[in-house]
Amino acid sequence: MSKDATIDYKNLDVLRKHTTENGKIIPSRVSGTTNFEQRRISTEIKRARFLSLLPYTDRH
Amino acid sequence: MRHYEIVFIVHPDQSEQVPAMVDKYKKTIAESGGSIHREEDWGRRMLAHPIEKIHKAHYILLNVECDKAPLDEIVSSFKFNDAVLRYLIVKRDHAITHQSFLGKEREDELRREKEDALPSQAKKLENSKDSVVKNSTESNQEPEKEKPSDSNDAHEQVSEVLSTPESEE
Repeated sequence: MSKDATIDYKNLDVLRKHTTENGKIIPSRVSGTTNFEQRRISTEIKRARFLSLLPYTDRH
Repeated sequence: MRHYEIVFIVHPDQSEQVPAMVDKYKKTIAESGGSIHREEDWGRRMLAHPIEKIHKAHYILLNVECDKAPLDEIVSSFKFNDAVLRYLIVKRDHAITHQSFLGKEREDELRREKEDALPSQAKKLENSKDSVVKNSTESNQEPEKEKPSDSNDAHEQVSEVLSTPESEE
C-alpha cells in the first residue's frame, strides 16, 4: 500500500483493499503489509465494522 | 483538555432531531470551555450490516477538545437516548480539522445529486423537443429534408428547438 494513504476507519477504500470478499481481514503474510501498518489496519477495520461501515461477514 | 473524535449513529426515524442533538452537545462542550474543531454530517447511509434490524442510519462526526466531565455527560446522554444506535469515541493527539474521507464522499454525493438534477431538466427539454419535432414534421416537411445533411445542422436544429419548447408549451 502507498505510504501517503492514511489508515483510518473512515477511509473505506483503503480498508476494503485489506479485506476479502467475505469481509475477513487479509493477513499480512498474504498481503505483505508491514507489521506496523497491519496493526493499525486491523484496529481501524474493527472500528469501521462496529460503526457498520464495513461488514463482519458476507452472511448478514 | 483532550482531543476526542466522536461518531454516533442515529435511528433514521429520529433523523430530524439530529441538528438539535448536535447543538445540545456543542453547547455542553462550549459551556465547559472546550471547542469543536470539526463537524460533519454524513447523512443517512446504508449500514454494512443491520443494527437492531435497521438497515439505514444517520451518521454524525464531531472532533472536539474538552475535559472528561462534558464527555461523560455526552456519553450518558448517548446511553439514555434510544435514538442513538451506536457511538464510537476515539482519543486523538491533536485537533483534526481537514475533511474526512466519508465527509468528502458525502459532499461528492450531494454535488452529484445537484448535477443529476440539472440533466433531468435537460431530459425534460429533450422530451418536449421530440414532441415539438413531431409536430413540425406533421405540419411541414422541411425538417425531414434537412435530416440527411450535416450533423452540425442537426445540432443547430436541436439547440434551436431546445430554446423554444417553453414558449411552445
